[in-house]
Amino acid sequence: MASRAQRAGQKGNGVTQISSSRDDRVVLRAEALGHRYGDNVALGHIDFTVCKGEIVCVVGPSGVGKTTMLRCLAGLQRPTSGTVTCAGHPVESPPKEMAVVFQDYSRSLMPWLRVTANITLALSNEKIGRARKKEMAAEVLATVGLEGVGSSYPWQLSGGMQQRVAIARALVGRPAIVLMDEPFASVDAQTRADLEDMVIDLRARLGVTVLLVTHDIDEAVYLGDRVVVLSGKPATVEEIIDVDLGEHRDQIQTKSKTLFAELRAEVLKLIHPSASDAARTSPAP
Amino acid sequence: MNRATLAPATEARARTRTSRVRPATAAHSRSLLALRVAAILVALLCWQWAAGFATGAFPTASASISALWTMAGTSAFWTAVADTAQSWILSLVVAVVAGAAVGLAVGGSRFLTRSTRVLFDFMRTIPPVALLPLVLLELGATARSAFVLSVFAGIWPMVQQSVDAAQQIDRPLVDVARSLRLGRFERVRSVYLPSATPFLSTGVRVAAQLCLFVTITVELLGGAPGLGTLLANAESANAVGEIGGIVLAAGFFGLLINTVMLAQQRRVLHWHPSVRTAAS
Amino acid sequence: MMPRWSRAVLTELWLPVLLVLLWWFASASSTSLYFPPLHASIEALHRDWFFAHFRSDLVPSLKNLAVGYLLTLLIGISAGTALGLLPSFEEVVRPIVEFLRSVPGITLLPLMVVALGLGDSMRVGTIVIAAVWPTLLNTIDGVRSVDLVVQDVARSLRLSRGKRLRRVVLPAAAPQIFAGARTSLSIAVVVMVVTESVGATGGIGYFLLKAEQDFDIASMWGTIILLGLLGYILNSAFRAVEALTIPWHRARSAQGRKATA
Repeated sequence: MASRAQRAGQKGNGVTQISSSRDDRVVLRAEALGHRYGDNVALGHIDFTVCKGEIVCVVGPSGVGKTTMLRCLAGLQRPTSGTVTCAGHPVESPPKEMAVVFQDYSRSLMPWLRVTANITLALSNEKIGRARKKEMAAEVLATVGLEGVGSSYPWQLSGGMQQRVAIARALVGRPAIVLMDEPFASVDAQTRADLEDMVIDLRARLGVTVLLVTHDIDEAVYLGDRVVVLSGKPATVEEIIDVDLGEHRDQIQTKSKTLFAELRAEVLKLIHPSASDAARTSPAP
Repeated sequence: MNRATLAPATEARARTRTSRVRPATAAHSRSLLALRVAAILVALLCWQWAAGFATGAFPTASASISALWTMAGTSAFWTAVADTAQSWILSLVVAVVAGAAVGLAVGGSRFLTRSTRVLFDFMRTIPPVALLPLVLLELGATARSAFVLSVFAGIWPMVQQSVDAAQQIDRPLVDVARSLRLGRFERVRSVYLPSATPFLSTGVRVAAQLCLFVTITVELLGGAPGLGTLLANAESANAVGEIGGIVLAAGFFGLLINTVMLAQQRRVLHWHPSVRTAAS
Repeated sequence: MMPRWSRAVLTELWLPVLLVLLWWFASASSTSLYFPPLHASIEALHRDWFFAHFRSDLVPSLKNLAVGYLLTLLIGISAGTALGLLPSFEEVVRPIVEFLRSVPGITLLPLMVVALGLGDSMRVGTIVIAAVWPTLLNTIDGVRSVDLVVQDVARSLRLSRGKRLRRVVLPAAAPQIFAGARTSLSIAVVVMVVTESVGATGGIGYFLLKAEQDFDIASMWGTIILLGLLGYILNSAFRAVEALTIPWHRARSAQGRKATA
């Protein structure tokens, strides 16, 4: 069945259609991104862009290389081939306009600092007064729904709350784009649903641009404006799928739409070709 | 080298999150206190009874306690304690500061760490007492001898722990520090130093015990002034009760040191999983 | 490209080798009392220990060390296991244990002499009483910290008490026990040397002392080198035993190996 996704979708290198008319709106661009460890080619040839205000989800099976890709995008690792550009500048080290939310919140928040101190740490390079920094921290904590938590230690909070703190830390510096590495993988389903909705809400209210890496297909389709499907050895972009589910998503309504199921099936087929006998699109070069 | 297991969890005797502990009520702590006192009395009685077999050659509990009581009234005793304490603390401070400086510097580089591993291991195995006669020859039976050997003894575990501290930094924290683009000073202050504290404080504790051991050894075998000399005198005078009393005194001194260090460590590491009690 | 293992060996050895060479050449024509030429010390090492005094001094020392250390392990691990399995009892006797282990081992030497004389039993006894604490305390902690989940699994598999202890609790506590045993080993070596400076007629420590008293400094250095070698061999042996007994621990901590600062 030819889905709307297939008709609207762009194969591998098909970013040209959108980006050329909106170059000034491109916040993050990966061009021919590849990475190898010695003889082992982890990432093949990765191309995609993220435009301002978009939520782009990168989905792929575990172990495919999503974290490697994210580290290259975040400037934590120099890719062996290709380039990454953020807000027009090439990325060689963690750029100012980018913030990262790591997967393991218990190990990315400093246990010896209180929540407020953890957040203001992100502002340590800014020439802002201490009082103002605390204010900003309190504001951003309120934005993620954690008023009054500033004087606690991270380990005194639940997992979901800790991840919100990590997200708050990412937001406080008003970055152009937030990278999230499987941020909700270690929380329970109910908390995950709340956090997903919070991301959508943040985009609606603050216009945050997000690149979210996940292995959860439901999450990718639910959150994303576009879904980049990563698959294969070495990992390459199988397809980039447009998600026409509108800007306002809802856990119950959106997920019961037919389009949601179709898109979901589409992504699943790309990742696990054996899961169905419908024709697969050929992989990107 | 898995020295990480020397970290606080060992000595701090964490209220383990892995055993089903009874709730700490007031009644519970009262009965615990009573039981502990009873246990101590039983232990003393056993000591008394066992020493009885040695017909006066081995100090009994009663003889030791009364000897200690008597000694505590003399100024010679407290002078000796002060001498030992002074030697100990001076050598500890020097050993800790020098050891941490060297260890942290070396630990910051993988290459240096591996290059110096054999050297540090070797230095650690030289028993300070092996150098005692030479040091005595040079410096005489003075506090300085005790100081020098004590520093030599305490510096190596401190170096080792500092190297470990610098090497064992959690990968996610390095990533976070880099992605937050923290400046060098901020990185050390907010990330590296706090995460190094568990190891550093263990190093201080181990160094403290070693320094005390060596200080008293130099006093006992070499004649430097302090508790050890008192012990040697009691030994040559065959004052059995006093020997027991001095051992008790040394024990209390060591206990005081250990308790204070542990309390300090708990305070500094209040955020560490082995110390904090809040579940998450 | 050099194979990885030989690069590792090279990194670990270049500095010691360099220092030894420096020592050799810097002291070659030395007439200083405390730092005789290195080759003289090496000669002394060879002359004294391989194999003249091997039998009369080295073996007795090692025998005492071995007996003392094995007793230490035996007492430390069994008492530690017992206390670890009986947390209430351990809580009650904890002040006593804390006091006993705070006593600086050296102060017990006169007591040991009084109680056991000047012979081998005194040396073994002092080794045990000074070195047992790290093993004991680490065993208590290791046994107590066995993951509750693992314990529940063992119980739901209806394993008998003994089986649970042998197959679940002790292996789980093993890494921590080994850490304590390692500390105990270094204490045992130090105490062995100390006990031989009191009323001994043989042993490494005795030989060392005599060399120093006779101003045979070359012999002294030779013996110190011997002690260093001994320590190195013992540590390596320990590491080998550890790798054989708890191979999974090494692999797991390697998995979580962290980056350098």
